Amino acid sequence: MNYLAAAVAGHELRHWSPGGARCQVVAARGELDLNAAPELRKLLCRLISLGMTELVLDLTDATFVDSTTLGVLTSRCEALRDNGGALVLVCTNDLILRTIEISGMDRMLDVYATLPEALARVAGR
Amino acid sequence: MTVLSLQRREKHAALRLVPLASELGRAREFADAAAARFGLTGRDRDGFKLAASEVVANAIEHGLPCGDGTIHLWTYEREGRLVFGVRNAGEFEFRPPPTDPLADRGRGLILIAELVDSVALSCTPGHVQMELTKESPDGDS
Repeated sequence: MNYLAAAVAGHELRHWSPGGARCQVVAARGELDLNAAPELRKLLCRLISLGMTELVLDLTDATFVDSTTLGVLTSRCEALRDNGGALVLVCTNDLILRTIEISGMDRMLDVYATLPEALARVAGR
Repeated sequence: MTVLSLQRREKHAALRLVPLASELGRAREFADAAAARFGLTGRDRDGFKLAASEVVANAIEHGLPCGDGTIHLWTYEREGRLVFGVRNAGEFEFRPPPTDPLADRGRGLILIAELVDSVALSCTPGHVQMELTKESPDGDS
């Protein structure tokens, strides 16, 4: 079942359950910047407050991520780890991967090329 | 002389932006167009756009609008270098990059420093101006 979390100019966020009781996939499209960060933060916080411990952020259709967005991910990553969970990413976009690498977040976030790979990772935890 | 003047004018561009996060996309388009005119491609072009977005986001989030209600953006080329500038009102407050890997803010400066060749900050009472410079990929001057 899909829920539209935000659909405004520049970005769109959707989330859905891949099957696990505590796992959600958040699919992001477009540009994730200072404008999109509050929506992303709100959605991830809501999912964590609902008891989700395994979050997969699918950036397959995202074209841009800035430092504000990375900050949102860092905070949520920490919150999930405190509860024994994890935040993993799906991404092959060169600019986004480079942004993650330069910021040093590649050391704390697992990034997979495909959604099935990411889901296999969280299922195997 | 006329031709030179026209060429010079074409290589300068300016944009006044209402300091709202929803305007960031326009700032990126502005920077990207300048990068394309300058001849940047691929990773260099993407990196310049990201650095420009970071510096404008910083001005929107932490600065104030100039007297006309906008922040001022500009680009120009000079001696084989592409410059992207931002000017806003307010006072500059230095926030060092985080030492905590889980810190949720402060990575913008890290990105900017990595993606452009130099960053110039100038502060006058009530105003802050930053200019990012990218060298020509061909080393033209």
